[in-house]
Amino acid sequence: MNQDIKKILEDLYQLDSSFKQHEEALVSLIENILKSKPDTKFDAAFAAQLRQQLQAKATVLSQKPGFSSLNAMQKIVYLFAGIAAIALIVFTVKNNNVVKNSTLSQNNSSTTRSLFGDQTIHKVGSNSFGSLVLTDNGGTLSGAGATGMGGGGGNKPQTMAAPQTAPSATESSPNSAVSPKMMAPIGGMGGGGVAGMPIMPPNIQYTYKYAGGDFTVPDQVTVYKKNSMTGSGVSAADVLKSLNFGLVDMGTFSNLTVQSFNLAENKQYGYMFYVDLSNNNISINQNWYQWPDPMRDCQTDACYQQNRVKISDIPADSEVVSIADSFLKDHNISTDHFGKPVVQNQWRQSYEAAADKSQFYIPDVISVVYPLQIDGKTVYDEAGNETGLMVSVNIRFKKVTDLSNLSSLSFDASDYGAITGTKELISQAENGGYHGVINYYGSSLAERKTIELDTPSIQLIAMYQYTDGQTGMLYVPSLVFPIKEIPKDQYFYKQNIIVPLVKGLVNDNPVQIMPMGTPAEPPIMK
Amino acid sequence: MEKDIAAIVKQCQQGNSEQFTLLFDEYYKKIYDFIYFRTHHKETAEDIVSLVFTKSLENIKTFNPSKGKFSTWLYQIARNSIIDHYRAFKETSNIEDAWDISSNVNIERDTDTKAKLEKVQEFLKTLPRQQRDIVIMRVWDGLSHKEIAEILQISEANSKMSFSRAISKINKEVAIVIFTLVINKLF
Repeated sequence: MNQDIKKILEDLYQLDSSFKQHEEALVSLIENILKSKPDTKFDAAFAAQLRQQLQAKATVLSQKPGFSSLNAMQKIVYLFAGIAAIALIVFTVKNNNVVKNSTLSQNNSSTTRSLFGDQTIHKVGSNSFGSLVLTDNGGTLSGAGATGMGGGGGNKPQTMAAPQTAPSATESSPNSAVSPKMMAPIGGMGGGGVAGMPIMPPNIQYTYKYAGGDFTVPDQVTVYKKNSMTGSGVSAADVLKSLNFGLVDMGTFSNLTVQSFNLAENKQYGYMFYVDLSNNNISINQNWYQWPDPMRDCQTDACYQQNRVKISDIPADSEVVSIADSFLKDHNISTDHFGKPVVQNQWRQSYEAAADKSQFYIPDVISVVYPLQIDGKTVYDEAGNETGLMVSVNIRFKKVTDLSNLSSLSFDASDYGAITGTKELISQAENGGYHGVINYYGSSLAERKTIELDTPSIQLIAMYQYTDGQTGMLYVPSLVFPIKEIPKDQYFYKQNIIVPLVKGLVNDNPVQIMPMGTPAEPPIMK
Repeated sequence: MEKDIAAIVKQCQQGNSEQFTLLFDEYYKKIYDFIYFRTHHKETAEDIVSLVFTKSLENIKTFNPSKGKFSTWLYQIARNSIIDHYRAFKETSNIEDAWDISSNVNIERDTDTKAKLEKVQEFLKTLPRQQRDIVIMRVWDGLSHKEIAEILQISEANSKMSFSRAISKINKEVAIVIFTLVINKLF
């Protein structure tokens, strides 16, 4: 018996020993409740982006006078500014070396101009990234352990004098850095937050039917892995050793490296920059203290209603793209390896379906995705949406607020055996592809609809790989089956069905859920 | 670990807010799951979890460690945020989470989750709100009765009693369903 169930039963028996008479039924019952626990669709990319934004905000808070000794903090700021400058120099040189080495030593490497130097693709031996098979949660690749986000909490009893008073949502600070409205959606899932829009989703069960033409697939495909500099960082020992700025003598520590740093632009509509040297990433967020927010001081519903964005305020897609393009151009951010920008307009689907449009939350930030391209293939997320450089535009001010996924483009490439049977691949697509669809019993009230899939193309799907506590990013060749006509009658977030070509990444059978009330071994009350 | 958490929280309260990411790493998945179990919708859960961590970062100085654990405080913020979220969008004020809303009306739910919850809802929805919350906290969130009591601001004994009553009630409902199924098969 599972230890958790055992503990739950012990609690019950302590309270009422007569429960013991029904142990078999209770175990079955609790197992069924556990089985019915939904997959929470944990999105590591979303978590990583939220973490970055909170880190940027935390940096701002730490720098506010009153948090600590101002003089000491100023010294720290100067110190890290110095380190940052050195880090950037070292970082640039290091990446340039990678390009040069790659070009000289690898005949089969391709080199083109890009962000932190050129895009490099370094061919390594077959199957170099280990066995690519799904773990049981269906969302991560082999080698997966803890996601690094969980844990904690615990069940240890604690003495508590009185309950805490937790702030409620309505007490949110006006300076909320990462309010739902401002969160850039990951992988194109929304466009500035769609929470809480009342829509009327009918109870529909979708099935997929292939309606495309003939196609063939190669027996070997190339998987790409993003190179990181984890563990190397940038040596800062020489700078730090000579500094003793009153708080701590850094010279007493050894093997210091710079893993990340933040910069802030202190002017109206300024930005925060988070540079992650471990993963070769730069993200840009608005410097919240320097941006006006008409909702900030709203205390009444009237104020809220007056300042909320209206559907008539939403500019044309071309204008949103133009704002994003200008930002990239003004700051010399290359889009050489990114495809045509796509405005994330999924919120409009919910808006159109909303019964009461006056209560619908119209986002004030709209995102534009420039799909990443590697070796001529477009990168998709696991849900089948194009993914890459993401630029968020605030439509109140017609300015870019955030930029994410700006990253060095250095990859290792390794060949893997592919599934070649088109029948099998089509069957997997009709089962919902990578994430599958949930088929369940007892849904007699559900209306059934068939969605037709068009002829697929081979593209890349971005997947996280957890190995030995480290997170890596893989780009796995996959068939992308376009959905011929996206359903309009429900919030349907998929635009394509993804079927990875590498063996072992798709379950052969769709998930079957055994509902409560019809357990395989029915509990019998004694 | 709890000692480490207390130390990190103290550092944050003293102005070293950058330590907050350690707290984020520790609790993000648990809080996200907690919210998802009560919203049944990925994007809504992500919106609310971002709000929870932003608020906790901004208000960490108001957390009083003598009154309970940091994790409990986070769960309380999450619970309040869920309630506020639903109350803000519903015309009736007695809706606190997705469980209070009929599965076929007026609320976004992930399709597969809706399917998975369809049957379990039949049982859990028959429970009083607090009993249902306690069952989910104990079985899905894996929280102890002590923690549940702190989050809901009830006594530990009350939490245990409510849980046992809920289980007893569901058990009877299951028995009726099984009995009905057997009868249907026989005749």
